Amino acid sequence: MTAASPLLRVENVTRRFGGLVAVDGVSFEIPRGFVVGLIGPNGAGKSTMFDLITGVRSASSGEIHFDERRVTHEPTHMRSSRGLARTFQIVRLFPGLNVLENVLLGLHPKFPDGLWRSLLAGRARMRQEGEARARAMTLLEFVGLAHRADDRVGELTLGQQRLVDVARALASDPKLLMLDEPAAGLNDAETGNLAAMLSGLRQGGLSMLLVEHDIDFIMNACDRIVVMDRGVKIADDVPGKVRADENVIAAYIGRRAAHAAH
Amino acid sequence: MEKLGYLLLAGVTNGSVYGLVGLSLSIIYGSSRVINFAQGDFVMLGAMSAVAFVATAALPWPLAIAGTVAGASIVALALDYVVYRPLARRKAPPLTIMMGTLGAAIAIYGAALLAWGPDQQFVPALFSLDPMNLGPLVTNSQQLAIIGAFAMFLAVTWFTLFRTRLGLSIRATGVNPRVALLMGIRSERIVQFSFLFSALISSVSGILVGPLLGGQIGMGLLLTVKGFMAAILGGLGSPFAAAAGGVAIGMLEALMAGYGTSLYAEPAIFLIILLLLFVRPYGLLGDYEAQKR
Amino acid sequence: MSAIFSPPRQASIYPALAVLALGAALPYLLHGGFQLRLAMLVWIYAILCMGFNLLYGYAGQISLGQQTFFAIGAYAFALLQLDLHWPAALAFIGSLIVCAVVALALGVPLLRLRSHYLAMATLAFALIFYGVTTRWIDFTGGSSGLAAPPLKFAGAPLGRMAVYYLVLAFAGVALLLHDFVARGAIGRALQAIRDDEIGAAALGVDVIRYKLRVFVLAAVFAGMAGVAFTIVSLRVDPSMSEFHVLVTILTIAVVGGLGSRFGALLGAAVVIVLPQTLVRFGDLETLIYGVFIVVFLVFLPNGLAGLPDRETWRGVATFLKMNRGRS
Repeated sequence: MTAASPLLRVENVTRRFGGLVAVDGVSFEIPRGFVVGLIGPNGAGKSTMFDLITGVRSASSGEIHFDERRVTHEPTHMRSSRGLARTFQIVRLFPGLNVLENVLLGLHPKFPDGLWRSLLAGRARMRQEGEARARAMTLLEFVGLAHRADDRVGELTLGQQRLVDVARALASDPKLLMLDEPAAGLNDAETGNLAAMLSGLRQGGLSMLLVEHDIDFIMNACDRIVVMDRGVKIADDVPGKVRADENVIAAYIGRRAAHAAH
Repeated sequence: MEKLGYLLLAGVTNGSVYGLVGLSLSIIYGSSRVINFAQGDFVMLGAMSAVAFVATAALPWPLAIAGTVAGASIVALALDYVVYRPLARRKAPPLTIMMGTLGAAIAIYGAALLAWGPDQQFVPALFSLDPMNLGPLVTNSQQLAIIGAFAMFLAVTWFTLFRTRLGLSIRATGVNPRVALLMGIRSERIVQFSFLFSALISSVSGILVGPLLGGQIGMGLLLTVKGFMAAILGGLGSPFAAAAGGVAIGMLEALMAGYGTSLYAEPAIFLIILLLLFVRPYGLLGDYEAQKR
Repeated sequence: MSAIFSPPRQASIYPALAVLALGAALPYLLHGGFQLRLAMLVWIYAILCMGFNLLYGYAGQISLGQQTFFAIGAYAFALLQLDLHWPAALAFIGSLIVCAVVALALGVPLLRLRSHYLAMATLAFALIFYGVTTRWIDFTGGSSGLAAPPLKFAGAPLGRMAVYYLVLAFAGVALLLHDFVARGAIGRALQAIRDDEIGAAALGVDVIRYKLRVFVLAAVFAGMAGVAFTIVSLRVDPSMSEFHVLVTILTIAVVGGLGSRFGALLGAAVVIVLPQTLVRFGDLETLIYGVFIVVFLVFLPNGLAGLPDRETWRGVATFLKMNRGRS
């Protein structure tokens, strides 16, 4: 049966900061296997929405369902162990660890928690560690950075760090991959690289939520696009229709004529 | 009644010193996000300098005070150039810089150990220690001088922070360092000023409180802890709340020693403040840190 | 499976075993009781600092109470034998449990706090403990402390060599445990918490639970060291929780190298042995320790253990370049 319940369901979610309403009664869905883009002019509430889904911030009202489970009040690390992985707008790799170790951390939910359990598992852990390393290397190969596995993350370019971030997010074999402005600060070559990689993932059937400013990038990468403006959802459709939507154009022309007219 | 008055007065006196250390910690934290572990040591250096200049070298008081302030300034500058700047430029996390100040505090303690030895020393008093009557209270000139100096330093701090351009820069840096930088405020200068200012206040209060607390090189760390407790009582980043917090701690300490158990007074104070930290980690009065979440 | 590149292999257990083998051979290489005792002191401080290393070097949590747990472990070990007449082995386990429980009680409220609060709070805890142990003479023996019963095997007190190998055994357990944590997924998670708590949480690391666990683990390490020290010196007193011990721990940790596998061991060997043999520090000791801490923090943040790393030298070069021609 194909029309299974959606992987992510955001239901009438609102988030207030004192008097300011950053997100106002927004609802949308991400069906399984879909790539959904979230766009909107500055101040639309995209980042807040992103934080609400990942659990960095809690919603003032409304519900969020992930994989048919109500996760509205679950802390971040729990949502992540349910299969929700994300990358960060400002790359948050761990400077104290090398590239491979950063990716290995993405596998964290798979390791048995608990010092004592780990100790007792002994040999099994050794094997597990070896397998984990192999898998991490495979991911690094996928993003083309296997040759830098041993290096400190500070030695990579921004584009490369972004790719490590993606590899790390993929390590946990997530059900939903959320990318927060992955193309920000990348040059054309790096953007192309990223687009190709995301296309590969999409073909593999991975569900994704993409927040981006680069309209072209998003139009090409997504199956559906949700548009927010000033905290409210103003469009939710396929890319072709969204591109021509009057409300969307108005929202952007009101702010950034140059981008909308591209 | 007399006993209560005596205790409160003693409490306010000691509390003034704790409050000034707390104020200093708040100012430095505000401009650099660093807890200066060596702050209490400046008070210690002030007290011990009085010993060195007046008792040992028999210098007249004005010279002694000038020498103390100069010495404290040199140590403050050393803290800035040797510990703070290299680490800040390397973008080391504030915690590491705090470790650096702890290392500096240890070095200062070690140097003081060499100079004055571990035993308690008699600290000469600038003002008279003869008891005098102030209405129903019994006090002495030295105590009044400490309280007076406390009030004066508070006034100077307020004036500097709220009525000068420098003060505006300090407050701006404390609120948002990045924006302050964009506006051309040189944060390194600000931090240097806060180190010097704090050293000045602490060392002078050390000269004054030395005769009452006794001159012992170990007092530095204790004062840092009490000063920090004072600072967090008011919420880190609010110097005046810290000053008030210090006075509160001083009075609590005195009351406990007078009415409760004098033997366990000091551990008890640390325990109370520790419990306070559990319950209200953002301080009783301020939500400075809380707002950041 | 990777076609071209094989993953960098996980650090192996052999270096740790080699160190222990060296430790076992040490008594035959040293001359005299003084040197043997010095070696035991190195192992004891190494255990102390390995715990501190996991807590601060790996997880980034500054606790200034490590020396207090050192004393708590020692006092518990002595008191369980003296007052409750427990056999030594049971008292050992009991003292570790005491350390763990106290750490738990302290950690649960404290670890929610930002790290600079943690530093001060653990320092306050240390001051409270010291204040109480020096004053509660009936229970703790006050400033003079208590005499601990010597360990006996088959009725006779253990000889010096036997004590050494017992201490080495403790150090071995600590070393293997430390190594296991440092080399594996737990070590990575701790470092992630140190570098970026929010990022770590986003990857599924239960930050609070990990912080609590490593805090308790560090306390247990300290307790183990405390028991070892008691077995060697046959007495416990409040000086074990004094500032001086904390200073030594910090110096060893910083000099040896924070967040490294063998930094604690290396640091302990250097910091404990140096003042005794090569250079006479005397009263200068505290001053020199303080200077060492600052110098290493600024110039050699990875400590002695980081010397082989090319990035240490790159860091030094960058530092020199950054500070030339600046006011």
